[in-house]
Amino acid sequence: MSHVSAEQLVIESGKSSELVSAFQMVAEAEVDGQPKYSQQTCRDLAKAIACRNYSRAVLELCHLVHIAEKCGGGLGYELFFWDSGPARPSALRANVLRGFREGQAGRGMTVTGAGVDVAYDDGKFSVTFGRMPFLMALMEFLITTIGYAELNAVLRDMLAPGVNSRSVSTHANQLSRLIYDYLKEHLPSAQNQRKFRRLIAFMEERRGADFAVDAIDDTAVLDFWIAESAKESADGVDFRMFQTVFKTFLRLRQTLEQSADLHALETSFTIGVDREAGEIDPDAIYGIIQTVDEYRSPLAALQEPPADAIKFLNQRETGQLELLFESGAAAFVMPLSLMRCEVFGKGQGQITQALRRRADKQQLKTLIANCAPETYRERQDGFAKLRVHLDRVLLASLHVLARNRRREAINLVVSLRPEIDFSPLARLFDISDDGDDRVVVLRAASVSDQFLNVIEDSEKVGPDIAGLIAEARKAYRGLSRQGFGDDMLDDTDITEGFAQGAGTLLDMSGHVTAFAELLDRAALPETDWDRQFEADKGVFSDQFVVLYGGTP
Amino acid sequence: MTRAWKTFEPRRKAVAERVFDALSNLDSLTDREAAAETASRKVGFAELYAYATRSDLPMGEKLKRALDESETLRRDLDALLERTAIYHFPRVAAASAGGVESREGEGFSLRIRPSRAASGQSYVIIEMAEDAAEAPKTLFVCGADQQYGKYPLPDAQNGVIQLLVDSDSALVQALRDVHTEVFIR
Repeated sequence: MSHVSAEQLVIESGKSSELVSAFQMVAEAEVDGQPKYSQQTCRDLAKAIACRNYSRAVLELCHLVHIAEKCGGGLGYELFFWDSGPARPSALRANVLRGFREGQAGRGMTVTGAGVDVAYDDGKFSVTFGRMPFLMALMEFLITTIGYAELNAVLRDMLAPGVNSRSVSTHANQLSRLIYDYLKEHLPSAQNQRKFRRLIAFMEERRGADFAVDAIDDTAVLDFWIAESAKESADGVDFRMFQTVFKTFLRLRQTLEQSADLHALETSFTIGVDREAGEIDPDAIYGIIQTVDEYRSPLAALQEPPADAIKFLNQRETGQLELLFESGAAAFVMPLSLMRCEVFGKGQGQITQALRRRADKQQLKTLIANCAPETYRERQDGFAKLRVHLDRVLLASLHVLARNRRREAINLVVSLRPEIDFSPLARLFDISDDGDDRVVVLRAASVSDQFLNVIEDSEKVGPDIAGLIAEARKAYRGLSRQGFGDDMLDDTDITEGFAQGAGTLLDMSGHVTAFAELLDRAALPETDWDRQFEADKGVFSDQFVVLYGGTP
Repeated sequence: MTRAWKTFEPRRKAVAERVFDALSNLDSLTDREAAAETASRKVGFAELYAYATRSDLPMGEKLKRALDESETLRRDLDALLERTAIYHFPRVAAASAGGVESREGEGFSLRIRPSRAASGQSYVIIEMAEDAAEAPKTLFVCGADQQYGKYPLPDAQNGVIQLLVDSDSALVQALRDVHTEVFIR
């Protein structure tokens, strides 16, 4: 274990919590009672900070400041950033157009369908409306960390008469240096490095120096937690919580999987990266993190417009799916660890909350003895219920999309009931039979439209499809949530939300179904989930006694 | 692709550390529990901006506390006030430490005059040059003790704005203090 002074640990901890606090300021920023930045925008910002991948974004931001300054007339770029409502592409487009209409825009700026093009004396630059929310969030983060006074001094200097592409780049580099200095001080990289090395050392000790990714399994996670959770945090790394240990191993797995292929890293050529000197391209690291983070994206996508107008999942359902999606493919190789987290990890959370509330010994003893809020079997049923719920919202989505004659309905019909009998459609459209009467090509737009026009008519589409549509109607009417209701059926924004959400829900349904099926056939050390639960309950309660005191 | 850790070359190991670092940073930044602990502790720039630009918005307790505690935030507010002000009267370079009754600036003057009709009250009078582009709506003062004051201004009458206030009010005391900076917006 590396030696780190107590003073150093306190400084590290303070600095990193300051950074977390600054990020949370951005994530929690509100305008008119709604979040200023979407969850996806905040996630993208977190990734850029985490990977120190900000240089290109800072350059874009500087150009946006130039645009905003012109849009704001005499009131400055601040007006665009802090007096323009929630940061959404459509709203920002309207703000830019308003600024231009009022004759405040500068020469050389053109609004296009996608964004704003700026023509300088020495070059051109474009900032898209889609990118603007992220750049605004980055600005908010910079103001919170570096401070307005210092930032504004650089930006004012940049906006002096004669601004051109080169001067914007020069000032962007200046800002990037300020961010570099801030993140160097505040990102807990030294602590992360110690954590990484402890995990590697553990794996080498238990599985040998030639261990590979596959050795990071359920046994390794549990063994590490038992071995390390009770140790004093001498180097600022704390492994008391089982969930922390699971997530850390998850990250180790993802790290080793992604780093095994250096090809992508070595073929990227970002300007300014000195590979000979051992520098690692932040763009390449960012690309890896994007790949790893893709698994989370369905949950985030449902929180984005237009899908966010519909409550496909409530808070409890989202909470039950978070760890599964965060774990990505690793959930399928460490299903037991995931279940341990869901069951005993939550139990541990209840114990630590009770300790914060200063629970007495008896309360603590009871909590430790009942350290599982539910059994594995119940959690398994929970996933099965989520599957059923996802199917139900997909059916409900089909109702909205079919009623509004949206072509996405056809994809849903095929995805929800791949075995359905499509042969009546061949007769309906007079399509020649090519041998398999269940195969009907419905790609042509006109055919799709015709199909949607008669989709509820049993005589034309056959009893299977008509029955599915009736089932979809029933599912829709049975849901009483935001976005569901007969008065919403013709709302174009809501229909768009269903169209967008349905694709995401299909992916989610596939992931949950595959995981639920894996749970049914998982090879467990104790043969089945009931026995596994009993065995694990003993292991976890014993360790909780070690960690939190009391008698078993 | 499954590769044993020991077969990772030094560069690959360095990359692995960087990837792990980035993933761990991402987890720390988006950790909900940490977020709950740090939530609502600080004041965002939006609140500072609203205070500096909206004449109807008084200083809330949270902002006041944050300004008391953070020199950076005070510096940011000063910069913002200076940036958004129509006119900024800097600290008075007085020969003596005595109070000042008037401040002169380009296009603006500000003076304090005791009321003849109401004893114990004074007028704060802001006069604008005829070619002033717009009439100010708010007066900000920032004293040597780093305390901020914000006062909505009535409409100008023939280029003159008058405020009737107690002669011992915080505003009059601040305006008389040579160390006070004044911003009108």
